[in-house]
Amino acid sequence: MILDLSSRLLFHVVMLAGCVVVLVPFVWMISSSFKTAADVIAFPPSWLPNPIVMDNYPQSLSILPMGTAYFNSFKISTLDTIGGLITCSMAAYAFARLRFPGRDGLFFVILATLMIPQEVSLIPLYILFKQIHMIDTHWPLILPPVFQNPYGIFLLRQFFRTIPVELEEAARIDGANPWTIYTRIILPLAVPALVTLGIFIFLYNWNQFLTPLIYLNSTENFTVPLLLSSYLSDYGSEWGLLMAACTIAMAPLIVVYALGQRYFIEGIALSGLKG
Amino acid sequence: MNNISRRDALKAAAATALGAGALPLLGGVTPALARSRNDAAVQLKFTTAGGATDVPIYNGLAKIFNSTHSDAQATFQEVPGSWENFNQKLLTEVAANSVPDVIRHAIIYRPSLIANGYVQDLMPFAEKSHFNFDSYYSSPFGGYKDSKHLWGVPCGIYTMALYYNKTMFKHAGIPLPPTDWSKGYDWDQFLAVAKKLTTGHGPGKVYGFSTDSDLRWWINFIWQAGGDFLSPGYGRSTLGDPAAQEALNFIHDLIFKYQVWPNPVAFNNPGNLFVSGRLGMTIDGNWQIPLFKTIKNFEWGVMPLPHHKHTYTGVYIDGWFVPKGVPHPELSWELISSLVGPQAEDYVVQQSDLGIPILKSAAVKNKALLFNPLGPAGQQVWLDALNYGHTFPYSPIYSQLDPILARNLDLFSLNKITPKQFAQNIGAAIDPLLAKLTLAQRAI
Repeated sequence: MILDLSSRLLFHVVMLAGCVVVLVPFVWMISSSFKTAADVIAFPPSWLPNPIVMDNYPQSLSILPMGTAYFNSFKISTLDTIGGLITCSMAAYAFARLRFPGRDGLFFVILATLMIPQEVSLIPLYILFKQIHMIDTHWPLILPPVFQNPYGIFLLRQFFRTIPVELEEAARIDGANPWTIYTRIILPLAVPALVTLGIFIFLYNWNQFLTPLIYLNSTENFTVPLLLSSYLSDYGSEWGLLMAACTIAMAPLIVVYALGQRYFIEGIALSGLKG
Repeated sequence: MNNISRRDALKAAAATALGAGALPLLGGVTPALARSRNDAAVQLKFTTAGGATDVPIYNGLAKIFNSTHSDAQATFQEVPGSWENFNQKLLTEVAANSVPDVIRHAIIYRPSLIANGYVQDLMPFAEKSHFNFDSYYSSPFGGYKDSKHLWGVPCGIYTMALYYNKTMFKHAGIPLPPTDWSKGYDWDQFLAVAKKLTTGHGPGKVYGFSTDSDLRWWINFIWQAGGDFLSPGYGRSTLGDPAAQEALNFIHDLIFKYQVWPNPVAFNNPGNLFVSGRLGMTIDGNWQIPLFKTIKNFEWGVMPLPHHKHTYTGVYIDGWFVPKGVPHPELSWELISSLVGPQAEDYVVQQSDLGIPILKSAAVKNKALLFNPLGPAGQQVWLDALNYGHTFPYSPIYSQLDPILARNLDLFSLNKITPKQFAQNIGAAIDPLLAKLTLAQRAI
């Protein structure tokens, strides 16, 4: 009994310590967003801003078009998520359930593309998008993630394989074709996996820096990470403004995480243990 | 297995058509649509890496050009983040032959831009437009211009000096340092002052001196001792030569023997340490003035770098370049001429801290505005620094050398290798790379 109590206490202490470690940077960020540039890097550091500088928030919103960047990031991430879920689930269904020549070989090839670093395909893709006049538009940030997501295909294929085949066979006896089985049987049963993958895709694309940097030229097309890096340069950084902008930028991610927390953790388990 | 019905196929086709119609709306304005809004004037784009606060200044420079040109209109494109980010974007654009009309790039990349043929020779345009080189300081053009070529036009001049915490000096009873470069501290005096300023212990310890853990900052000591990083023509590393070794041993002693310099690995941002009031002196460039202006808790000033056998300080001059393959090189040149013209140079001094202007008349006319909030003596330190300027030997393969230097600087700073081993490691790693340089690359 005492052993049980002490082990639970120890567990809680360890978890609490972990919580503190995770939360300290966020608290520091919020605290710094109310400080002057000099106070942000003052030593010893003070947790409470003194004086409290409220200007960082309105300034960070007015110096650069934060609202527009927010909209751009949201639009790109949402389209990537919706498009990615459609294409990944279709491909995953084909690899999990349909029989066709070279299926396993093709799946292996798709998995192998996971090994190719993004930088390798950067210039060929840039040339391609230039030829179709899509530089400085959001399309280069939307199309590749929608049609090139081997991780998503892999994750969903693994999940689809756990759905009992008998359900499909019953539907087929009732006259359902593969499209109907996919839309009416597989997708409704795969909602947890789809939500998990959706969160992953959304967060990944929301945080993308390199591709927006390469493809976007106009400030009005910038995404949030690009705009945030505007406060950092080799000749000095606007820490107060950056922290305020980061706090604002983090809000939607917290909402997404809070709403889909269960699926997010399930997703880690799904891809980590069942892969 | 059933086939997809005709009705389903029609539905899919209709959805695709609808999606295609919405494409331009979702993807943002396409260049084709944007072009249709343009008038007859040629649209020029100029770009650089920069922070948010620099954008209005560049927009102002574009306005100056636009107000005097009806045949071309310039717009500034911001590339957020570091020079490294900027270079990555630029190289992608070069590979796709989709470059901006004018770029401002850091001096570190100048040799590779020229050696790889990424930038255009501007001399024909300069000669044709009778560009008056005499009205500009000549030294900043070193590396950009020779008798036949003009690879770029320098923009603001940046140098390094020794910032110091004036309040800390007063409390320690140290007389305020000289501002004349010929009468600056020698190494012994510098060490004595650094020792006096080093007080306390533990997390709150105050240090006498620190500077960035980067050879471009440390090299000031090496130059002062009469050494250098590379031999002329980038033949080999010269960090093992006696003069460079003397300087590296001095640095080693400052960190480990006298402990007046906090461990550079643990305290890798001396600028922040200085702002926090825990550092007596720091070597840094005039690009730190915007940050140091925000200091409220103590007074600070600037003095010449310490001297030993020589008095030297690093000079860093970014440049305006015209990438090869731009559609209107003459107009690109006109834009550069405007960016370093009298109106633009005055504007830059009045609006920002973007270095010393290269146009003599602008530097003289706006002298009082330079290096605000420093007084006349502090201003003079920066202006006189030009007389002691020395250029870091950036080779065309510096981006390959930089990681080797960084790795060995860390080992040095952790006291894992001696100054001699440091030089040996670097020589062994970079000499073979330098040996591959062609004669043309060595000449840059």
